[in-house]
Amino acid sequence: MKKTEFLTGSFIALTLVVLLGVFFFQALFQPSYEGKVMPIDNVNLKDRVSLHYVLKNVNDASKYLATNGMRYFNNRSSVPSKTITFGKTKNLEEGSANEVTSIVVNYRGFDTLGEVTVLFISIIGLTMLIGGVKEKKLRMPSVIVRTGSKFLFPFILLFGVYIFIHGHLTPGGGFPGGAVIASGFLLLLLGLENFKFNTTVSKVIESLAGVTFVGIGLVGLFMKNSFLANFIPTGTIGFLYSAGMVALIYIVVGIKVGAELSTGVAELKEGNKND
Amino acid sequence: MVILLYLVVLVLAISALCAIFTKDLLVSVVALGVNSLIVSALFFLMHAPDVAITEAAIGAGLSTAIYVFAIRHTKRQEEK
Amino acid sequence: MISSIFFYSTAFVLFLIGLFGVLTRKNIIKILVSLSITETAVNLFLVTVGYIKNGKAPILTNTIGSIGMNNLKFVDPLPQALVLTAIVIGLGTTALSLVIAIKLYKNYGTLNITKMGGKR
Repeated sequence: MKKTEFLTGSFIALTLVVLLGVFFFQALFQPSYEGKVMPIDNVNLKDRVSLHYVLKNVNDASKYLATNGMRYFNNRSSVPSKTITFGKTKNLEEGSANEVTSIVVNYRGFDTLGEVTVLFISIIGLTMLIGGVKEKKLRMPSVIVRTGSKFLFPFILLFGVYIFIHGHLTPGGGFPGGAVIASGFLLLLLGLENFKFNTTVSKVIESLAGVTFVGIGLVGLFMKNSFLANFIPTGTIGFLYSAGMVALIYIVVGIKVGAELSTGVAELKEGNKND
Repeated sequence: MVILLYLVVLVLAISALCAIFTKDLLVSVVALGVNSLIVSALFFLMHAPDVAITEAAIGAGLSTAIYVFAIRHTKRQEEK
Repeated sequence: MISSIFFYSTAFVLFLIGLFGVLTRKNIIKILVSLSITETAVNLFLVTVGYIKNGKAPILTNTIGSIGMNNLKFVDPLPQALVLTAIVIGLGTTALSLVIAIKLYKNYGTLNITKMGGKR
């Protein structure tokens, strides 16, 4: 009885999944968009909004849209732009060499503030719900793990800090840098049997970082009349001291994400004895 | 080169199926970590190094760790 | 160069495997593992939307030199920026749901969703 029920459920689910798969692959191999074939394999960046993010002429594009109206959508490429050369071009609208960073922090900075808040709320929920779960003792780690984790921890921390300080020049940034720092604390939690992670200090650091993020946004509001506007000169593209407040915000985000994720991992491992 | 790529995707599909169908939850979580690692390699092939770094640090590292901690607080074998 | 149809197919297959797991599994942690697979597949799909054949990684370096309207070499950076934050948010929500699973286990003594709800 139980077995047949399970088999029937699996059969129905399999049918559903196969139908959905047929739908997906049919849409992939016979694409049509208003009678035209959709370009799946030869997309042009000139047809996308990202063109202005890459060429760093978003302000010009919005002015063009305001004066020319709907004609803008047919000739995006007639918006004025200049050639950007690594290490030479100065005083751009946004001076970060990494385009992903310039989108995440500068053009969509408000969105990033919201996502950091979502992470903050989920860790608060974790801390609240875990009360009353007791810690279970781990097996004692071996000598190699104990010595190695003590030796490796400063290097992992340094690597995380390097990732988020160079976020506007190389791949990386605040989110992966924070994750690397959290994995360093995870190594300590697993390697040293009497290591206690102080969650109070980490929560204070995290809150201070969040307040600093909003503070930088408010400075932009008072100096440039827009929340999270770039108020520091952008410098030459490709140098460490460039891109204005992007580096500043990514340092803050890195510290905040690192503190949040290590708090979450430590509380999941140790439980909470306060309840 | 292309054959190697197809082999990698085959391992991806096998690890996803293994994560779903095995009875041991610890094996399932480790298969999920392998899945994330291969997906991060695919992100790198798609010229998205930022996303690849993030997926490797979070999907294969921290995510596996928190799943293992949760299994330690509960039960390892899946019951009938 | 690799065709983007390859990456689209991979993302679809991974999504369907994850969906099948969500529909048929009974164990809560198994359901969360399947949801993680689905989430990875959606991230893969979103990055593939921005993939351009013969493109380069969207970082201006010394070897790339210069870009302009007539020599655009990059893949689309916008989906990458969205996925970058989505992965971190995914870890936060996974941690929260795992804690809820632990509390359910403490309350009911089982992880099987069909056996929950009866005794307390």
